[in-house]
Amino acid sequence: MKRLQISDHIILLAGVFFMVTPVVLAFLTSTHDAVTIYRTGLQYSIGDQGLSAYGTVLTRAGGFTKEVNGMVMLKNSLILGFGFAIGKIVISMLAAYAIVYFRFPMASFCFWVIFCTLLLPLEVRILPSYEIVQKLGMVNTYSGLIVPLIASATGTFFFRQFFLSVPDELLEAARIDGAGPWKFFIDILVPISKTMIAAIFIIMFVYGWNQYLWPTLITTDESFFTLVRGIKQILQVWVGAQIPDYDQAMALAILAMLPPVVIVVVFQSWFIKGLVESDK
Amino acid sequence: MATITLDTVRKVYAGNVEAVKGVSIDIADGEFIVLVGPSGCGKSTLLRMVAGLEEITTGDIRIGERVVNNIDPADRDIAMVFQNYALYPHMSVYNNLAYGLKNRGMNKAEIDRRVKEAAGILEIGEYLDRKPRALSGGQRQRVAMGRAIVREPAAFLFDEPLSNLDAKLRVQMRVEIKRLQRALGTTSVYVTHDQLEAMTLADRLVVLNGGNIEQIGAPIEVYDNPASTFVASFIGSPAMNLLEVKANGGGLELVSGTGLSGANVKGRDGYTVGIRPEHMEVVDGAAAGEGITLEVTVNVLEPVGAESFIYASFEEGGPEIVVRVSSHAVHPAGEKLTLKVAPEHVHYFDAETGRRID
Amino acid sequence: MWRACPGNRKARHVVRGEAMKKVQFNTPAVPYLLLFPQLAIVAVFFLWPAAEAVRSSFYLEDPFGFGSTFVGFDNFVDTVTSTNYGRVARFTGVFTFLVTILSLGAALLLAVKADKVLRGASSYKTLLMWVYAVAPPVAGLIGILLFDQHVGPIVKFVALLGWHLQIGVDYYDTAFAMIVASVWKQIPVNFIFFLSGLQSISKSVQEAASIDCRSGFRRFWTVTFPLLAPTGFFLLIINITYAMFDTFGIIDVVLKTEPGNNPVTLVYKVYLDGFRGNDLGGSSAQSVLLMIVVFILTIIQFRLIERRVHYT
Repeated sequence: MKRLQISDHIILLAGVFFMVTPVVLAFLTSTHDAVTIYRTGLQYSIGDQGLSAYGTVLTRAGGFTKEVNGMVMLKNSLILGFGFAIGKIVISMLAAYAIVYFRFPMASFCFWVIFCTLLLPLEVRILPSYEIVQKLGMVNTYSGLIVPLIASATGTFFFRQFFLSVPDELLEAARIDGAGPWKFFIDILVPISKTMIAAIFIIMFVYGWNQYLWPTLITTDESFFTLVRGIKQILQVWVGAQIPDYDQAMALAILAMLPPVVIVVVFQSWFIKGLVESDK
Repeated sequence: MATITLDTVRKVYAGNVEAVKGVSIDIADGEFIVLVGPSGCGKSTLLRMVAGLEEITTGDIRIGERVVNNIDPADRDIAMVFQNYALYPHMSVYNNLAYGLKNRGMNKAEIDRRVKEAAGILEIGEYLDRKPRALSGGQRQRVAMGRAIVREPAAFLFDEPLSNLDAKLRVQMRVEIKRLQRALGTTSVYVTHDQLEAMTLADRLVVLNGGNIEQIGAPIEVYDNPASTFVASFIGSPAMNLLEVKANGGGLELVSGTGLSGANVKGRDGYTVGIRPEHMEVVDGAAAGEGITLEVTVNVLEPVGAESFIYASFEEGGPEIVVRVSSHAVHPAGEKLTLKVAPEHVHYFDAETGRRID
Repeated sequence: MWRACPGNRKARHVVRGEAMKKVQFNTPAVPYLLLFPQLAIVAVFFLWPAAEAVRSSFYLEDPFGFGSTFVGFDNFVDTVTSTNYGRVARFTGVFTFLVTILSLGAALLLAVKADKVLRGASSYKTLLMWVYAVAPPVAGLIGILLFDQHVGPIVKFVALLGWHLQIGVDYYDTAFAMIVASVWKQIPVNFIFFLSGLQSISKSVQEAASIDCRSGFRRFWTVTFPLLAPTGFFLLIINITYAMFDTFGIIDVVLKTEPGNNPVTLVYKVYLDGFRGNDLGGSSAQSVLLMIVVFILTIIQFRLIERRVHYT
């Protein structure tokens, strides 16, 4: 038994090594200056430069781009993450509430229309989506960035499933207590969905924050760049540079992953519950 | 306080499933009515129609003088206690009780008075600040009752409120519900599948089967004079022994041919005879007198403490009957017994329809 | 009993499309009001673009913007018969297969071990799952650093073994880097699902198995694995979808946005032809072909999820 346990730990530690090392290396490297990195390769210790690359990335416009610094990108990432998560939760809770708790003629038609959005990821309809957003004049706007991403119905299905698992008697008791549709939603359903809302918020925030392709297309004005979108900019500077700013690139990578990683780790149990129960 | 009248109420679900087939009941003011029957008999549907949670296909329901068919549950002046309690999990006990009153726009002082009063009656005063999940099953049950009481409604509706409790608590709450209902004098309709609960609580029982009423009556009346083999086997535990018999000359015999010493008093070719376990007496030899005498062999003796039950059969592989005997009787398996049943304790039912023959 | 895998109830409802509540509100206008925002967004940003993709796949766009001509299935025929498309499709297939198998296998191994160990289980769990939150392009960026020609430790390490790894130059080396980064990014999701699947297998079943079967390895294959299979099938589809679509960020970064002669996936080609090549019809035809693939995958997914019901 004991020997088995040791081999289990070795396998797990190997897995942890594979998952953690790349990011640790990225962080350590970001604390050295670009020339040192270029000469001696990736670094395995904390360097003299400390966290100054982060300061540079956050405050100095023109590190990679000409108009925008890391703070602005951080702000845009937060807007995208929060905007997407909140928008999606509000819209999908309302829709799921209608589908589960109301009897109306078009119910199953509406349900299938929303359902079919699960069939096609944004990536396969990217070109026409871009053209439509362009036609609507929403390029380089926050709404153009956020709203089309909400079109997929994952959140609606999540809440629909949750609402279906709420005991019927709760609505019955509330009706006997004189609660109408709006009162029931606000007084009962939203409060009892709190943990579910938190779980889906984490997943959606991470999803929104990590968007890459869509922001790449929709934001050409640098003042709308997100941190993840900024990576594309690094690459364009990188190609053709003599000594790429490895340190700043890694600092940006760490900055871009830090907020979602912190949220996922801190709210781990909610996040896992949300992920496993929402299926997507 | 009000009377409740059900007038040929029917419920037909999509797909033409008829759950309730034209039921009429008149419930007096302050009466405690128990709807009892196996699952799927329509008892819950009937209760939910009274509550306004199910639509009525045809027929009328009146609470007091008012036809409530199309009236919203909140406006029917009823309160309901659910099997899973349906407490609002995010609200304190106090707010659980107060929610319905707030929605009616009652003033705060009156709400407070009523909540405190109900909490006092139910002895949940010290839990008013807690959330339901911090309460035990019995306490939740009390809160659910409290939510009904504060409304001071015309009627209480109970949907199997005790089935989520353990056996001991169930007995305790059963007594309490009865006491409370007597004290408040509120008309109550109570649904259960547990015949013991039904017997102990009801002023009148309504035995339902397949969407029809089998029998309505006071518990002891239903027990003593079951209207059908269904009621006979459903009410009472262990159930009444039912034996199919046929006429043999002037006497009776089992369908298998084993003779019974007893006269064919009903003058028919065949019928079903019902005998409760407690109405058979172990006697020495073939005692004379009226009634039926049974010759059986003991299979198993089952002592339960206050009494014992003998499981015995007439012949190998034949029908088995249950006999109640005193707890200290000793009857080893294989022993041959003679059982005597007094004529007033023999019930007769039509073999085809199962209805009682008087 | 236990839940073999979460979410099966949803699938059942989804497939039948039923609302299951015994009691519902009957207020006529309210549900439409509640549904309006969702339906409006779906109509404008989903249905319209999807229809547009299908429409333009049958048209040839004039390169100078002077309208378009209906060409029937020409775009599809051109797409399918072009040698480049075949090459990309083959690469996508191999890439998807490898990413799926490797990330599922590694995650299953780690989940089984993490479920078994008593000490440090929650630390392992945290350390193995947090990469979920890393954006694919960030994974790609760290990847190209590790595989960098000048500074990358992996390049230096494999050089010792005589392999001169050159990403961006050598087709297979680039593919290798893409696969490693994609697997790295996908292990956490699989790990989380496998672990929760394992933890939902009832203790008494495992105890019964340990009485019936002495060999731990055999026990895994005959009891645990079959009970985990529904989760596995479900993850298989999720992983295929991931490898085909969500790896876009990784691929774009590994290629440093300059594909040249390097391997790309079908989705990347849709993007290249549409935005760089200005071949609207061809790109749309490829989109429609991909839509069909996704459609089939989704149908299989719901079929499989329906079957999982047996295990609850």
